[in-house]
Amino acid sequence: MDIFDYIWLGVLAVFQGPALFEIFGIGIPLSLVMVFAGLVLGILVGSTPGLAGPMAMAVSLPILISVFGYSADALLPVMAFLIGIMKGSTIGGAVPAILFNTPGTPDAYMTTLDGYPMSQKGQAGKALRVAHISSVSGDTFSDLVLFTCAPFLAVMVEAYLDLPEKTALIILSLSFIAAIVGSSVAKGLISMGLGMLVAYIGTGEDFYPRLTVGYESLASGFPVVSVILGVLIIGEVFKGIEDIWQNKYYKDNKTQIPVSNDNKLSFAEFKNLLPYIRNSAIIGTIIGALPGIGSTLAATLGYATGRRRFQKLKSADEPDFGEGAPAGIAATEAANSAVSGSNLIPVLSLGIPGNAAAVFLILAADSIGGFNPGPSVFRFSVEEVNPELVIAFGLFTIMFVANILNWTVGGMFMRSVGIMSKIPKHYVLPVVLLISLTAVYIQETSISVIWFTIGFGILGYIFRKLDISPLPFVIAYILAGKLESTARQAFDATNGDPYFLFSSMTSIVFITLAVITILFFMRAPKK
Amino acid sequence: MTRILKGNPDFTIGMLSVIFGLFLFFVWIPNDVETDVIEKVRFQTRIGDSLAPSIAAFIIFFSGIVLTVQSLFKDGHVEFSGGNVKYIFLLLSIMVVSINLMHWSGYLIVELLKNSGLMDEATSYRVLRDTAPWKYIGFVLGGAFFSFTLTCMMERAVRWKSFIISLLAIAVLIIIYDVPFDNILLPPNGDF
Repeated sequence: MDIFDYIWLGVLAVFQGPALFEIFGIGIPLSLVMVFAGLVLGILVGSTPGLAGPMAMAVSLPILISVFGYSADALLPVMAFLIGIMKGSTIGGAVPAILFNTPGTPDAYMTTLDGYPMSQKGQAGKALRVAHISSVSGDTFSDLVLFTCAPFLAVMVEAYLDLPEKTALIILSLSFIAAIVGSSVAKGLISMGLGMLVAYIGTGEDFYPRLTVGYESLASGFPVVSVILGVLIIGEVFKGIEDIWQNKYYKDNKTQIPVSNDNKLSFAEFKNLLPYIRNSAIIGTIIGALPGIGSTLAATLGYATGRRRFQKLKSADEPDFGEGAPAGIAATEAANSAVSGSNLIPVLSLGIPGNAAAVFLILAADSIGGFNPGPSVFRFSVEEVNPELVIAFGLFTIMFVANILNWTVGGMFMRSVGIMSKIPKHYVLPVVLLISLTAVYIQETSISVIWFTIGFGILGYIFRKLDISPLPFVIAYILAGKLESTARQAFDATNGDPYFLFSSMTSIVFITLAVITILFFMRAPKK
Repeated sequence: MTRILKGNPDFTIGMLSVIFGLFLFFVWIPNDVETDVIEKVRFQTRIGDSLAPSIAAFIIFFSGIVLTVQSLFKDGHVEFSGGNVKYIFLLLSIMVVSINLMHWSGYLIVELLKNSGLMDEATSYRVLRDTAPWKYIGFVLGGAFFSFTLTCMMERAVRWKSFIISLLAIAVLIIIYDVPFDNILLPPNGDF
């Protein structure tokens, strides 16, 4: 088995998988149908203010598991649907931003700056076309980087890192996420510490389950789904409900969108946008590869870089950035979409999730089994087939297919879902809450788990009110078990050396970098 | 000092973290974890179950100190007011009523029918929990109340439109989660 055999097996796993139905005698593979369905749902969700890709991923997962079960065959269709949502929501977020000056997703805020003025001038169609082509270009570029870098990085990790170094690498990743995400390093660390603490409740190696305060229901810890959905999704919904309630705001969006004759995007116009798309795609990909840094920063940097270029080259009759410049939309959308592919580099090569969407992909892999994202996935074993590697290349194939669908039919769907932006948030949020709690229940079938989820939802709400990012909490919660088990193994392997984290130059470098990251961002003021 | 007296939210968060970190380190972990930070088993030294939670406690304690010190030199820009507490109380009240309505309404209706002689004495809700219409009673009543009251809260008005949308949402959820699957139990039926 060489690398090309593995790639081919991955492609076959998608295209020769079970067929859902036939068209003219040709079986349509299930994974392809799922990625298409996920993409459409993602565009719908992204274009609905108040909803986001991770929310749809969270509520879909229990249904998908109920449909496909926990067998190895379930993994690719389930992941295909989730990847479809992830990709669809990145392009869908631009729709309400352009049409109604309401970003569908937080990272689409910068899109409103030029998209809405274009829409007011009757160029909504052109703005949506620019957003679509830029978004898909950025995403495709980012995926190509993912396909190249993730296996390479994983092979390097497996070849050069032993248990102490892997422990140090997890510490470095957690420190980086705590330092970089949110308003202050100290708050990031509090969030991380609490996430670790929750992960350690009811687990451990002793017969007596630790930190349960005598509650038997906590003996095997909090249900993963209640912690992650609670803090990430329910907390966000609680805050959304309060925002409407406190502001006494609710109104139906009845804005009429003017239409002009200038709504097509010519090849010459696209060619002019290419440098903005290229620069932003590179910026977004680099930022996305670093765990914890969101697409909002990528969009901001992409926009700022695009504006600098525009100021130098613009002609007198062109609208400036912020006044309806197509280049402004291109710079923003290419950057925020380029984050989504490269965000999976740390997931697939190191097993470290960098954003909320990656958290749900890891949760899906954990729930179904048979695929543990991390460096061991990319073990190119020659004599026997490594099934995880075949799945990894199957996932790459699915992402590739999703990009093709995004290029071909994505734009059409995107331009036809403007109606979703008109759904009032005060109708959407209670339904999202109910769907999320029902999703948790059907997975765990216990009312007590609903209460746990609500409890973690309140924690997530309090985090948001106190300007503490919930992402370090969730990522620390996911990685805490791995950190402890790797540290235990490293300690045993070094015959109980308490200084095992300083046993090699690589681990010393990782630990030093972790400390420097914390100290650097502690000194540097954050905005 | 004046800033502290005026109420600096970051200072409060920092102090609470310090206190919680100390509580974890000196009270919770020593009393609720069986093994120490390091344990010796048959001449072999191993990491005990206390180490990982102790590190988490240290991180919370340390970051609390940093946040407290930082808050003395710059203004906090977050606010957690009585309005937020009022909101959480209101939200929790709606949830307590809705989830209890969801949990018990189906069961109570079956018990009521049994007591009034309209249903066989030997029947129980457990037997009926996967049979229409019984399996939908709790979900529809609790879910519709939940969605309707939250919408009314946000609208600050009671409207028929909100009620109908809540019922439609419940119907859609039943179609998505229940109708296509034999192996899924809607809330609260798994608890019986």
